[in-house]
Amino acid sequence: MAAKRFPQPVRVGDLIGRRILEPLESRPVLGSVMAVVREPPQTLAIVMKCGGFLGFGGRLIAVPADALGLLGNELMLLDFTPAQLDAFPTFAPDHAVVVAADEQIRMGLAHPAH
Amino acid sequence: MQRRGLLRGGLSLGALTMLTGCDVSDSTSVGKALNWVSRWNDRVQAALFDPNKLAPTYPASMILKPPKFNAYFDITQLKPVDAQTWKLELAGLIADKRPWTAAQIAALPVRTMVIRHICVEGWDYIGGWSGPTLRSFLERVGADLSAKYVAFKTADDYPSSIDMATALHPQTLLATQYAGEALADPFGFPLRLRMATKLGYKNPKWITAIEVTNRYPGGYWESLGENWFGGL
Amino acid sequence: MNSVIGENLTVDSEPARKAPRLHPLGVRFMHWTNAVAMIIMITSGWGIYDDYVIFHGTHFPPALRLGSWAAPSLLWHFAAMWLLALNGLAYLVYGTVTGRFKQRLLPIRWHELMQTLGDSLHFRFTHEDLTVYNAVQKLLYVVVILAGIWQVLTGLAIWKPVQFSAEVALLGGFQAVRLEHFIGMSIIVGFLIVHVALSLLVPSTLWAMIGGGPRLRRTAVRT
Repeated sequence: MAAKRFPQPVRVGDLIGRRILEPLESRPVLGSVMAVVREPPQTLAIVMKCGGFLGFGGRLIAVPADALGLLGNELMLLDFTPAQLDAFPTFAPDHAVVVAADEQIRMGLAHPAH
Repeated sequence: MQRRGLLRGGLSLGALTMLTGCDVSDSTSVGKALNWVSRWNDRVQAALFDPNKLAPTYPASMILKPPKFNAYFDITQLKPVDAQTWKLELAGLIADKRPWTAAQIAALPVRTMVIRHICVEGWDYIGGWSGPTLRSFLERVGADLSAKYVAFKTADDYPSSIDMATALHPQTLLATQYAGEALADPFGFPLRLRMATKLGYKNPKWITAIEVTNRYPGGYWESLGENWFGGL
Repeated sequence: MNSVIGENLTVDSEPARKAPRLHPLGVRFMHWTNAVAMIIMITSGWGIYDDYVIFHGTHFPPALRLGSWAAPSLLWHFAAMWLLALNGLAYLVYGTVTGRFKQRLLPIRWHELMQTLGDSLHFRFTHEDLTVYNAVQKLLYVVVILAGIWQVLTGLAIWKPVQFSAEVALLGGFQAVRLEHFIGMSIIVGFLIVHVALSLLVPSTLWAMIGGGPRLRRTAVRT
């Protein structure tokens, strides 16, 4: 899926803190980027804080980077619904390797949801 | 909000019962009046446009990389331009109408600017573009600079046009680069228009032809009701 | 032969001129024109806002938006802005030059304000003399006039952030100005809700804005 979205290089450090949005007119925030990790065998994943309220609570989940699209200085959830995210297992950092801030990864682009 | 395809027209505000059923396409008197005011606003904007006023610029560290993609189609429908076969065609009130290759354009002196892109939708970002100024290019090809309009044709069927005063503004570039590197496919490779004094939709990507003319050329979004001047 | 009787009255061979009404025709015309203009600006503005919401997770429902998508909303907004601005300017000039603002809206005294607020919250709405505005009324009208001016200023900044870049910088940047324009709209909508509710609770005020209302008392007559 991501290949069709013309992946572009993006600096990992620039992604940290960016909001992740649901593709609706009202642009609901689903979470924000906490870290970028590589999970075996070499899958890039975005660790995001999901759920919770006003920064309290919530849990960490790892979403494949391919399932998200870059949208300016935000990200859009493209290949899952928010309900599906709720079913993701809580992120277990055991085998994941955090990607350094200055590294560039490639991510597909999103288009404003109207 | 359906932006693509046909103008949907119609008002969904039931409270304005006297206007229920009216729509804003040219075929109704309400639509005609609204579009007439929009053309009047073009003249007001032209009067407000100061050809010597520069838009604010920013440090290169603020450039968003990659920039935000937007088009009237989804990214998955993008058809990249083949740089090998691409040529910039010229038409209209231009003395030297020979087409330009990417290599020829690359040889022109460039200007770089880091400015705020503002979309009519309401979002913005800081971007950095480089390329020859449109003014220097028009002078080079012997364009009639007293003509009213500069029109653009593009590979994504997105006709666009601007007023000559803005075409000659120092912050109007025929951009070939973003953030110091060649434009990527989603952002208009090999050539796009980049102005600092107009809204985003006025800046066509994947340009294939430039025409200088005195006949109002309109544009893609203008046909759907967006304002033509679109000035910041 | 003229002879002065009272402070403001003269008796002469011509019939005495009738005192002006609370709301002269010009005021009524400008009031209703403004009402139409404001409603168009607000509802088309909601359509424009929805194209890129400021507050995540909410948007104005399509039924409340003027314009089925952003382009017609923009057309309405940039047409009605002329009506709002020109009519508003005429009203500001009128109110200043005729002394109406000074007469009707000033002064606003704190203790009167507290008194009237207390009455309102106890639903004690009486308005025996429509020609004298209570302190809450005065405050509301002053606020909505200032909010209207604010909307024009912030609106111009959003429309022309390069030509008016100094104004945008003063107001905190492009996105800040969008928020400020939204807040101004919220204040005006809040005013409208109170204003319409009160005029329906005291219908004589509504008839006054249609027919002109009571004639001003002699001793209160000025220019």
